[in-house]
Formats: sequence, C-alpha cells, structure tokens
Amino acid sequence: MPIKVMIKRKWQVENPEELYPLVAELRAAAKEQPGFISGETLRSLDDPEDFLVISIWETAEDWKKWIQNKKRRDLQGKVDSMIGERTFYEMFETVSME
Amino acid sequence: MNERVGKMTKKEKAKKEKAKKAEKIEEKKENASKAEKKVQEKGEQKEKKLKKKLTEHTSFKNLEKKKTKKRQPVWVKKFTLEYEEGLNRLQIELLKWQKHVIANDERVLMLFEGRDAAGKGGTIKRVIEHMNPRGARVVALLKPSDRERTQWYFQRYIQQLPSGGEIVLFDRSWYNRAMVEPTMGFCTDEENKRFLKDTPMLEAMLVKNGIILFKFFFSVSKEEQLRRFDSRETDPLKQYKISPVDREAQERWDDYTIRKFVMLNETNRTITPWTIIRSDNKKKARLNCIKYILSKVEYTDKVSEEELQVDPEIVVSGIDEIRFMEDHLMTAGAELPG
Repeated sequence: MPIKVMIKRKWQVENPEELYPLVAELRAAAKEQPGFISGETLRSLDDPEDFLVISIWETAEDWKKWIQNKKRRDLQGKVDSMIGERTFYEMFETVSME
Repeated sequence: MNERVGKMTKKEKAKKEKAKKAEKIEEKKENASKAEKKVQEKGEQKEKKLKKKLTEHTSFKNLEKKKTKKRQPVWVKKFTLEYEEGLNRLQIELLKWQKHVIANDERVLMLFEGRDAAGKGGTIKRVIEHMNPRGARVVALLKPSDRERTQWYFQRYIQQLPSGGEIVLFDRSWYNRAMVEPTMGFCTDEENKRFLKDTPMLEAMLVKNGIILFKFFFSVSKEEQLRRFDSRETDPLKQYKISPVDREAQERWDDYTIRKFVMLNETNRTITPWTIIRSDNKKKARLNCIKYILSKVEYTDKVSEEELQVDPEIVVSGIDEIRFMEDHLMTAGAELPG
C-alpha cells in the first residue's frame, strides 16, 4: 500500500535564490528513485513561511532507502543549513474509515 | 670512689642519652614546623600570586600611562590588551543597545546553556557588567523547591520572563530537563521526552509574542573542562563554583554528548535557533558571543557590520552542529565537540 510522507519546512531564508535550485535538485533526484509516485508542495495560508511537501511512495521501504541515500543526505544538509533547522518527516498510510 | 665515679658515669651517660633523644625530638619538631612554615609560605605566595592577578580592563586602561616614581611597568600578553580593548568597545555597544531596548520597551531573553565549566557565567558577567541594572538581570534558579515540584515544569521560569525594556539572562534554563536531569537521573524518560516535544512550541509562542530570544550553548572540550575543575579546587576565588557533580560531568561525558545531540535535534528551529559558542578559549568565546548578540539586533549609532563579524571557528549555528554530530556520532574514535 502506498505511503505518504509529510515534509515540513520553514522558508525563512535570507537568500532564497540559493535555496530554490537545491530544493529543485532534491525533487528531481527523488523522481528518479524506485518507488517514487508523486510529490506536491503546499504553502500555509496562516503562515506564508510554512511549507508542507506531500511525497507519495509505493512502500515505506522505498522511502527509507531514499532517506538514507548519500546524495539526498548531502543536499538535505545544505537545505537545512540555509533554513536553519532540520527537516521534519512523518510517514502516514491511508486507512479505510468505512 | 671509682665505683661511684663509674656509677656517676653511667648516670651521666643515661642523662646524656636522654638529652640527645630530647634534642633529636626537638630537632624533628623544629624541622616539621620549618616544613610546615615552608608549605604555608608557599601557599601564601600562591595566594599572593593570585591576588596580584590584574583585574580585567586594568592593563588596557593604563596602556598610555607613563612611567613615574609611583608607577612601574608590568608585562601582559598582547592578546590580553587586544581582548580588553575589544571587550571595552563591545560593552559600549551593549550599552547603546540597552538604551534602545529600554526606549522601545523591547523584551530580550538569553539562555546560556552548556556543560559545567564551559564559561557561561563568565560571559554573562561581561555582557551585564556595564549595563544599567534596572533593565538587565541574571536568573540562575536553584533546584526546585517541594512546592515548585508540584507545578508545571516551566512555571518557575515563566515567572522570570522579561517585561518591556528588560534584558534577562538565564544562567541555565528550562534546558536542565534536556541534559543534566536525564543524565543524572533527576527526571524520568517520559518527562524528558515530553519536554523535548513541548519546548519548541513554548519558545515559538514567546518569539511570536515579540520576545527576542537567544539560545547559546557553550561547548568546551573534555580536557579543558578537567583543567578548569582542577583550577576551581586550587584557586580560592573559584571555590564557590565547585560542585559535587563536577567529577560526574567527566565520567558521564559521552552520555551528555548524546543528550546534547538529541536536544539540538529536537529544539533547534528556524525561529528559535541554537548558537554554539566554542569556549576552550574563554576570552575569544566572550568576545564572539557579544559580537553575535549585537550583530542580530538593531539600535542607533551601531558600529559597522565588519566590527561585529564573528569568528566561524568559535560561533557555529545549531544546524551545522547537528549535521557535524550526525555525521560523526557513530564514527569510532571521532572526537565530538563538547
């Protein structure tokens, strides 16, 4: 069953022009990974600096492999340094409410 | 007669021997008291030497003074002069900033965290030294009372938050529950976890409400910490700093390191970031910490940005510390910052 990963980010940066390409590179690399289904970025209406990325993967294992990928870790590290905090992830699965 | 003489001689001999023994005992006593005196003198000399230590600012203040009959030259390190000059300039800036804080009813909160003997107290002292005491105070809370123990953990700290126009410096803060308490077994795992979850929310509330928040973590190496503990034991002016848990800080060094990593990971946020101050060199740590504070605030007649440029070897962002520790935490033999 596909899993959904919620990635929360605070975009309070002094130089966004340096941050955008890094995030774009991160997304492009994710798309190439086995098990990647889709990704969507949302901005908070209450706080325009708060962003939420919903990343959908075929299995939790696929996501875990990607999270441990060296290239991803390096890129993520650069993004985190610019944002000033680590990125928080939460994994969710769909449940039937019927 | 001869016999008598002989008897007398024996008596005399015994007397002489007794006298010799007494003399020896006396000599021993004298030697002991001499040795004692020497030790005492040495101690006095040591104390005298300590008393002769120049008070901060003295060498810089007297730099331009000329030799007179009443004055004599004293040798000081060039770095001491640079330090005193730099500190003086920064303390003037701190005062300008404080005027701005008072005039604009701003509220400033600074948390000073770090291992024992990391240099928190010394830095706080220099930050506050020339400030107007009406608008600046230090909060160093003792262990909670029985009554406080029944309250919400943050309650006694909340009571100390700054009012308008105030700069409040916390010498250790609610972060006791992140490092010292769990390491020493003064709180449960559950309480520690709850704390790490709640703190970012609490701090975000403070910042969103307008409080200017600084969170400093003073990072000292294991060797330097040991050196400072030893110095506390020998220096009569530092005796008050000796704590029974000092030695445990050394023994539980690695536990503290893991707690530090978890604490940074869970509580470093973009709006409430940690700033790490490498403090093996106390003087550099103090100057850089003050520069960092001033570089982050606005006030009239501020010096140029260049003058407030911090040394990247001394001041490290919380996120960079997390990344470094993350990369090296599992590497055998890797030395992690304290």
